[in-house]
Amino acid sequence: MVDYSAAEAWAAVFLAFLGTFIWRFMGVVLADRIAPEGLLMQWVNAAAYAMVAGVMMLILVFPSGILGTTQLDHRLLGFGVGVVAMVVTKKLWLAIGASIASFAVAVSFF
Amino acid sequence: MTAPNAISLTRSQLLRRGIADGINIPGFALGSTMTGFAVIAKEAGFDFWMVVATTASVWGLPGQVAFASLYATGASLMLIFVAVTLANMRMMLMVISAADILQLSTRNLPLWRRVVMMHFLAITSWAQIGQMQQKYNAEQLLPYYIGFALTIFSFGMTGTIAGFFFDDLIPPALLRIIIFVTPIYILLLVINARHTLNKIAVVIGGSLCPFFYLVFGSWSVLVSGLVGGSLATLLYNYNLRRKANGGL
Repeated sequence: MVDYSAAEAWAAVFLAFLGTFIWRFMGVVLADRIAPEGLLMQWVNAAAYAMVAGVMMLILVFPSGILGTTQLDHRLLGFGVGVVAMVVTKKLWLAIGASIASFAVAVSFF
Repeated sequence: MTAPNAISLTRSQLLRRGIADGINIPGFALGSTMTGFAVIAKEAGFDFWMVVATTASVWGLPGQVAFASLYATGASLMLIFVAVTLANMRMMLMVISAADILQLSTRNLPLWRRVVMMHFLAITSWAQIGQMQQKYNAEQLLPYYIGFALTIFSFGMTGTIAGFFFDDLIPPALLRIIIFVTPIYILLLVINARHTLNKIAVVIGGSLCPFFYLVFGSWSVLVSGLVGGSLATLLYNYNLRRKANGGL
């Protein structure tokens, strides 16, 4: 299965590091140049929130690995219960608890 | 908007509060997510040190998963680099946002220290300091962030190591429930964003991304960010202006 030499494998790890580091570094440099209260900073924040929500929704809808062995409707049920519990109770830990519990019940018994 | 009782806290008290909040749902959720990554990476053919080095140096799950999945298929190094770079692009906006929340640029810290601090930024710690803005001011958030970020990093490393060695011991039926905690935790945290503008961005970006994925594949997160961020900024400012005009 593994077609890489040890050197190639470690080069791959380094490239994975570099591919993330570039963005962090650019973020630190750019942060100095953007006015804190400006419209651009508003947009950067909104785009960051939209991207994070997007990444997490992808994990929820198209998961890889072991989460992929569960059903989409069970995962969406867990998410829906969490959102409703959040809106009703306004308590994060309660919403997470309700969400995980309903997901656990759904995947285990249905 | 600082809570009155928070003003008198010392740096080390804030650091400890960060640590304490990390040793809770965030730490365990992230630890189990990294356990899941280690299981995927081991299957893909990573040895122990590669798994550990990847979690420690990349510290961004979507990129790590892209890396392991491509490694399993024997993809070229160039392809791995491009895929990881694409998957973790959102880091830049998160770092700008976090640097803004922590007011890093006004602190006269050398560049390398700011870079090291931001290396430990993960979605969880970024969302957490965004949430904690209502409790602490920027001055107080920095030690809080350091305590929190380093704590969940330790949990992440522990989870990675545990996943590599005990991948056979954790029953899959349990592991898949544990791994579900991270996306739920982050989603509920960002839906709860303090600023209405960001809340709108979360709803637009989050609901469109799965559909974008069908069309744009790995570019979908970037497209969601651009579309969700821009639409939310427009809607929010348009609404503000309309309200301001209506009030006259």
